[in-house]
Amino acid sequence: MRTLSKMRTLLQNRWFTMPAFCALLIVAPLILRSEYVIHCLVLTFILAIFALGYDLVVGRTGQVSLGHQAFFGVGAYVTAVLAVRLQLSPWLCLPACLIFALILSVVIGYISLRMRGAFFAIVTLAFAMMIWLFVKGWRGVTGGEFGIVGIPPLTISIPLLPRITFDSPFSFYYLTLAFLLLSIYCLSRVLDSRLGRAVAALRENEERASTLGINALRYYIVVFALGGMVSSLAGFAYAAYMASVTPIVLSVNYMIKGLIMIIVGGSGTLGGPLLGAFIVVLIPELLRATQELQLIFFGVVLVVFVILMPQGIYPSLVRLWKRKITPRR
Amino acid sequence: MVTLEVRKLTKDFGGLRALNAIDFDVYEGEIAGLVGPNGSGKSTLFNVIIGLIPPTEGQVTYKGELVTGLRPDQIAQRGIVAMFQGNSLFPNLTAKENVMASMHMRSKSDVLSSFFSNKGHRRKKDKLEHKAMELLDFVGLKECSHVPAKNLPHGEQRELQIAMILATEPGLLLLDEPTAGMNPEETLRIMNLIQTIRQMVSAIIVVEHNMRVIMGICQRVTVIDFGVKIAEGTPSEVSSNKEVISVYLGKQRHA
Amino acid sequence: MEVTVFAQQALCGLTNGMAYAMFAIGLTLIFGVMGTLNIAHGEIYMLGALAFSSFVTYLGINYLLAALITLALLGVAGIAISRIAVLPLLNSPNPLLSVLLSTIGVSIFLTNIALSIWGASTVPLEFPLRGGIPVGAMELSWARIAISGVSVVVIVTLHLFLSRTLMGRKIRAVAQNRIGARLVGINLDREYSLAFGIGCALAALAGILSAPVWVASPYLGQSMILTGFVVVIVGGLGSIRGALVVGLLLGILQSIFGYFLSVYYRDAFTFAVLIITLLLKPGGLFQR
Repeated sequence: MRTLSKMRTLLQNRWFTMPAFCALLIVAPLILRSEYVIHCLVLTFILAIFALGYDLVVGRTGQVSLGHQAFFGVGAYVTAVLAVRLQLSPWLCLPACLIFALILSVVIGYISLRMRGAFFAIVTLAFAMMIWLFVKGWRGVTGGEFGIVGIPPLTISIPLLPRITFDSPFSFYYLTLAFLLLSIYCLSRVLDSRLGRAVAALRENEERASTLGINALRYYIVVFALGGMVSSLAGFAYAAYMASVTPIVLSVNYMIKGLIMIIVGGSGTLGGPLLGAFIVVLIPELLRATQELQLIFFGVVLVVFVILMPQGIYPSLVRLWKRKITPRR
Repeated sequence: MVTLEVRKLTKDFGGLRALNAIDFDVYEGEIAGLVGPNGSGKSTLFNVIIGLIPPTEGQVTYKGELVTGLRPDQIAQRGIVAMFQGNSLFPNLTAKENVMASMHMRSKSDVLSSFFSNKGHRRKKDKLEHKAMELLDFVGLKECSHVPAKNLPHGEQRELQIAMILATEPGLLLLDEPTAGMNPEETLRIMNLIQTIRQMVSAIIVVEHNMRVIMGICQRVTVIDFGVKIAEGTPSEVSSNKEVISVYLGKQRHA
Repeated sequence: MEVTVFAQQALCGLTNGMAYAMFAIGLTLIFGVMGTLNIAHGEIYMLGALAFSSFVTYLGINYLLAALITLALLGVAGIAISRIAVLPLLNSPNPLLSVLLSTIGVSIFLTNIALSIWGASTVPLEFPLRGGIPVGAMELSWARIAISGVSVVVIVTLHLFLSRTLMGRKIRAVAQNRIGARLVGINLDREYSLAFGIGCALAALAGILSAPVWVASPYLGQSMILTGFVVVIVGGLGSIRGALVVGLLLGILQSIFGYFLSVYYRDAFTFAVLIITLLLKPGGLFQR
C-alpha cells in the first residue's frame, strides 16, 4: 500500500512521467529481441511524424486538408531524386526537403487557405492529385510508375570514431525517434507562443480574431507551412529507410492513413498522432488479415470514431490517467 | 479634432439600399451615440466601419488615414476595435486565454524566444499573464480566470468582452448595444464603466436602443432611419426633434 | 485534324458526359439538401457498374431487370448510409468536416468490400446490340444511343419529381433554406434520407450507364469522385443545372483533349480547371 501511493506521487509529477516514457522508448530496442518489431516501430515513428504535421493543419485550423499526403510524398521524392539522380549526399537532402516543402506549402496554402470547408478540402485534394499525376507522368526524373531505387544510406563520420551507417531497423529506430521527439519539442514551443495563441483564437472564432487584429490568412499559411515541413521530414526518413520511393507515397492511401491516425488518436494534441500511428501499425499486425479486410476494419473504425468519439482516444486516456493517479479530493 | 470621418457612405445589398450617402463624424474625447429603429442601418454602418462589410460607395477616414475597404485585422491594428452583441468570445478558451489572445496586437512575436531563450520566454509570458490578470481584475473576473468562456454566465461574458477590448489598447471603441438585456442596475454599472473607459481611449461610438443610456453618457447623438441620417446634435436637441419623435413613436415599443 | 475524328471523339465524350452529369447531379443534390459532401459517392457508382455487369454477365439476368435490381439495392444502401453515417453528424459542431470524414470511412469500407468480392480485376460487359447507326463517316453505336436515351429520360423524370410531386417540392424547399429549416427544428430526417437515396441511385445509374463503354473495377470510384467534385464545383455547389451542363462539357472536352495528351496530363487538366475556377469564380458557373 505504501509503495503504491509512492508510485502514484511519482507518476503525478509530469517531470517524471515524460522523461520516463522517453527513457522507455530509448531502451526499448535493447530489450526487444525481434528485429521485425523494431521495424514496425520505425514505421510507427515515421507515420507519427507525418500525422503530427497533418494534424497541425486539421487540428489547429479546423479545416480538413485532403492533400497533406503531397508533403510526405514530396519529401520522399526530393530525397530520392537528389540522392540518386544528382548524387547529392543524403544528409543534404534533408534541408532540401524542408525548403521544397516550405515553398510548396506556401504556394498551395496561399491559394487554398482563402477558402473554407468543402472548397478547401477539394482544392487541397486537387493539388495533391496533380502532384501525384505529375510525378507518375514524369518518367525521366521520377521513374514514373516504378519510382526510384537505390538511395544510398545515411552515414555519420565523426573523426576518430567509427563510422555510423544507418542501414538497419535498429539504427533507424534511434534516428526516427530523434526526429519524432525533435518535432514534438519544436511544435510545442511554437504553439506556446503568441503565434500559437493567435492560431487557437482563429480556430475558436475566426471573425472575432480578425477584428482583434489577427491576420487569418497569414497565420493559417504559417501553420500550413509548418505542417508541410514536418510531414516532409517524415518523407525524408521514409525514403532513407526504404532506400526507394514509389508513387504510392503521394497517393490518397497515405491521406487515409493520416486521417485515421488523427481522428482515432486525437486531433489537436501532440500525443494523439503518435497514439494513432501505434494503432494504425499495430492493428494490422494483430489482425493478420488480408489488406482488404484490414481496410474494411479501418473504414468502420473511422466512421465509428467520427460519430462516437470524434476527439480521439488520447484526451480520454489523459483524463483517465489523471483520475487514476491524482488522489480524490 | 475629428477622430472618425464617414463621408457619403452607401451600402447596397442586391436591390436593398441599407445605407444612403451617410455623413458621420466622431470627435476626439467624446462618446458619440448612434440610434435608430430596427432595420435602420445601424448594424450595417457598424460593420462597414470595422471592415466586416465593404461599402458600395463612400469613405471612412480614421485619424486622417483612409481606412475604407481594409481587412478587419488591418482596421483593428490601426486602433478601431468593436464589442459585439453576440458571438464575440473564444468559447473553449479560458477567460485568461481570451484576454491574452486579445493582447495580440500589443505584443511582439516571440516564436524565436520560445525556441532559444527559455528563461526570457518565460519572463515575457509571465508579463503578459500578469497584464491579463490585471484586466480581469479591473472588470471583476479575477476568480474566473481559469473558467472556459462558454461556461461563464451572460453578464460575466459581457465583462470579459470589455476586458478583451481594453487589452487591445483601442483608439476608437465601438460598442454594439452594450446594455442589451440588462436590468437597470446592471445598465447603470455599464454606463459608469463606459465613462471610465472614456479616459483611456480616443473616442467611443455607442449604438443603443435604450434612450436613457444615450442621454446619460453621450455628448452627441446621430439618428438614422432607412439608411439616412435624420438628426444630429446633443441628446437634448435630438430628443426634442420632431422628426425623431415621430420615427420613434411610430416604431419603438419601449424606451 | 479530321472533322470526322473530331466529331466521333466529341460524341464519345458526350455520352461520357452524361454519366458525369448523372453522377454530379446526385452529388450536388445531396449537397444542396444536406450541406454535406458524400465522398462515398464514387464507390456507389463503382458498385452500380460492378453489380450490374455481374448480374448480366455472370448471372445471366436480363439488362432491364439487372438495372432495376441494382438501382433498388444501391438506393436503399444510400438511405442506410445516410441514416448510419451522415444524419447523426448533422448536429455536430462541424458537420461538414465530420461527414467528410465519415463518408471517407464508408468509401474505404465499400472499396475493400468490392475488392474482396471481385478482386482487383475488371468485370466485362457485353452490350446485346452490336454496331450502330452510321451517320456520315462515323458510327453511332447502339450502346451510346441507349445511354443517351436513358439519361434524358431520367433527367426529365427527376425534374418532374422535384417540381411536381409533394415530396420533391419538400426536398427543394429544404435545399433552398437549409439553415432556416434546421433552425426551426422540424425533423427533416425523411427528406434528408430520401435526397441521399436519390443521389446515390443517380450515382449507381451513372455506373450502370458507364458499364457498357468503360471497364468496371473496384478502383473506379476513386477517379470518378474527383471528376464529380470538379463538375459540381465548377457548376456551382447545389445547382443541378450546373452539374448537368458542366458534366456534359467536361465529357466532351476530356474526350477531345485525351486524344492529344497522355492520360496523366488529361487528368491534370481537369484539376487545373478546378483550381482556376475556384480562384476566379468560386461560386461556380451556375450559382444557386
